[in-house]
Amino acid sequence: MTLLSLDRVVKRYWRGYREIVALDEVSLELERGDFVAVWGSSRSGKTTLLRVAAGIEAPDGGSVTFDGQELATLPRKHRARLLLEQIGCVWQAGRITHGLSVLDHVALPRLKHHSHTQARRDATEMLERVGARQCAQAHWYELSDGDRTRVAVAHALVRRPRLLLADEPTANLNMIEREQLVSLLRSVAEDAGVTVLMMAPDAPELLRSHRLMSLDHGRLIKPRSERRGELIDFPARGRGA
Amino acid sequence: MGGPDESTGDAMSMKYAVLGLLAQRRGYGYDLVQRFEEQIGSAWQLNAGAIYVALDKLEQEGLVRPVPNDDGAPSTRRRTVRGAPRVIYEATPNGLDRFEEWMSTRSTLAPLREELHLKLALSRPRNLERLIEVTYEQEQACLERLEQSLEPRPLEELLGGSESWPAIASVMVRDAEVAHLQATVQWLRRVREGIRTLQERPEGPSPQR
Repeated sequence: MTLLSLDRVVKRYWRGYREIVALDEVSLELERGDFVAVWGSSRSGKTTLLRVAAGIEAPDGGSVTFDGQELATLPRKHRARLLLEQIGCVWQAGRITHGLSVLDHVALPRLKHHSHTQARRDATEMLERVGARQCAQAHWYELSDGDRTRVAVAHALVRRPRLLLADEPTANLNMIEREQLVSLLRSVAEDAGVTVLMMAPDAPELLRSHRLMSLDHGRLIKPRSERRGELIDFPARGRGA
Repeated sequence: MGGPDESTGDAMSMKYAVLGLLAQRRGYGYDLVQRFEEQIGSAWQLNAGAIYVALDKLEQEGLVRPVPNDDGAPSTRRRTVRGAPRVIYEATPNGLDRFEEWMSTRSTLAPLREELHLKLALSRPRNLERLIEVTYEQEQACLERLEQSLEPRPLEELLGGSESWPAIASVMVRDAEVAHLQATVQWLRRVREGIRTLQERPEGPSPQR
């Protein structure tokens, strides 16, 4: 079943007197458990694509549908709840909530429906999974870039989202750390059925995804089998059962 | 590269590839085709007939030979007749020596001959808009090829495990194509960026050389 669908999405910005087309009729369908990597250099439109997919920004044209609901038609409060409960985001310049330790920051999304103890337990478990357990009591300014990325991933995953949107999550990691992180993303897609949309610059980890696309000047370039419109999946190499 | 009587090129590479496969273990034509695909990958775009041509040449040069049948008589290769007895080949001692010699020689660097390079070099300003589209199409073709390399087990993981050298080597060969395709996509983006920059100039790209 399709979880996220973008249909001919257009997004424009004005830079001075110049109009920038950040997304140029982008269409994309993601199913449950899909792990899709979008490969693009800086200013190709990757972050805009994620912000529109998350419902943080409304498209200027086309539509974004999450679980059958068109995001633009939902009340703002409803969209905010989706972001808190069902959509996890990992941003490049992520911050943690002011004054909180890493553990409390990661526990935060769980507090709405769980006790403080349970939320902290879940947060500890997630920090362990992303390899950042040792950072639990640290504050933001004490973290290395790599740890900040791992904490951001833990914060996004702790809510057990149905959709994970990740903006260059491997950017500050070394080769082995990247491999570990992409393995984690792949396993949350395959084992937990989370749909993952990952933006990446140029790196071999792109090849660990189930599907690969490229974004340039707001144009999403897809392999021909996808361009025909129907979702033709590629040979299920490495996909979990 | 190779012996003094040899020409360079794909045919010669294929000859040594077949010799190398037979140096690993004996095999018959179709088996060699399958092992070639498995170890070298799809990027080579193997024409199966080339394997048989190479086998003929190797046999003529005494570098491989048919393994005798149980009755001791050498078998004749009859690959065109359905149901013909399968002929199994092995490398001769001479063949093994020649293969080792080839392994230690310097490898050639294939020339880069892409149709798009010609189009780019011979294009005129009025072609540029279409050229941008052509680069997108080329990028799409690269993605399609990359997609065939989507791999649940990357090299880093294999190196950390207990995989055999042939398994690791075949992933390294696959990575060569991946690296080439990634570099091509980056180059295509640079071309597009360059054309767009020229188009944004008030006077546009100059038609003069």
